[in-house]
Amino acid sequence: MKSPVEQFTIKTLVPLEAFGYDISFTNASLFMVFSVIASLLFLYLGIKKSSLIPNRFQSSVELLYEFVSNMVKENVGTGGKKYFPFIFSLFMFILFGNLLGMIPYSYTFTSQIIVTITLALIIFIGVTLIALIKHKLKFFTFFFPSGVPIALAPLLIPIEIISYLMRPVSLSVRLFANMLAGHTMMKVFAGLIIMMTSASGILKVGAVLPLLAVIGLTGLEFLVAALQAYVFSILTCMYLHDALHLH
Amino acid sequence: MNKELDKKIDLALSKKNESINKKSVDKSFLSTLSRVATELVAGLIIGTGLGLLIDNWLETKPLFLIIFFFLGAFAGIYNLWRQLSGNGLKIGYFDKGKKN
Repeated sequence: MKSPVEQFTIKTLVPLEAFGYDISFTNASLFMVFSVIASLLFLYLGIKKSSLIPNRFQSSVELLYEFVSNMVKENVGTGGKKYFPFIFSLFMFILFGNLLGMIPYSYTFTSQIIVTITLALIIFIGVTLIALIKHKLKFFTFFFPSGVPIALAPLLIPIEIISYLMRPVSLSVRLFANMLAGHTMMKVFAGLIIMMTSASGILKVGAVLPLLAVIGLTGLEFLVAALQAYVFSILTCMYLHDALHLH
Repeated sequence: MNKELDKKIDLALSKKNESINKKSVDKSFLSTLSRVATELVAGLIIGTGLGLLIDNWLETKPLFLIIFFFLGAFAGIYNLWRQLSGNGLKIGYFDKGKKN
């Protein structure tokens, strides 16, 4: 039987190399392309025959759009509207990546830390640049706000800097760990079913327990897939808010 | 007639607002739950990483590693407290009386 973590192996599909770096087109890259195509198709087909009274398909597209739009409005505040396209693309990319990963035999690219940390670093560097351009040197008061006793500075400034640098790490580790753990757990329980049915006696009947667990876990994984896409984009909104308004 | 209609509209609107509020509570609870664990881990990772970097630079191993390990751990817990006390993941010092 295959190991539960074998589903995460990267397979090179088209070997490529540039400037001494391996930039091969892998199964992870393929599913990133699928995720982009799927989200574009979903949005395009949904609003293709737009009518005043939407059908279910159009309604689901509109609901997603409004959901992200409200999220940006509530969490970024004033001046957040021009970042909506970025947040929406990010949300759709992660959501479709997570959901495509739920199809059997497909690949979950969000279970790779390198993918999530790249997304998180793009956000982190972008947000820091936005804050630096908007507030210039005033940005550094972020790490030591007024109204704090000066004696606390040697302790508080390193802690605030660590807190700030923690953002991309916690953002990426959260998405990656949730997807990795969920998919591994599903595979472990599915493996248990096969192991128990090939055993003898009472164990054979007991195989129904891991089967029930897998059914439950599949439902849970769909929830996690949507929730993690939501958490990733809402935190991006909060970071943008901090960058635009400082406090 | 008009007053009756107004009443009905008010009732419908208040119901709508109620359901929106309920939803946002549920959502934020679930998302907070999934945020909690990673904050602690991230604090330790960044703390130890920074400590090692400074040590390699100043060749003072393991002085800054130890200091930053504890600072990282504290930052993780501090962030967790900030998050659970309703200040979100905002950086900075928060006055209890001041509303952000």
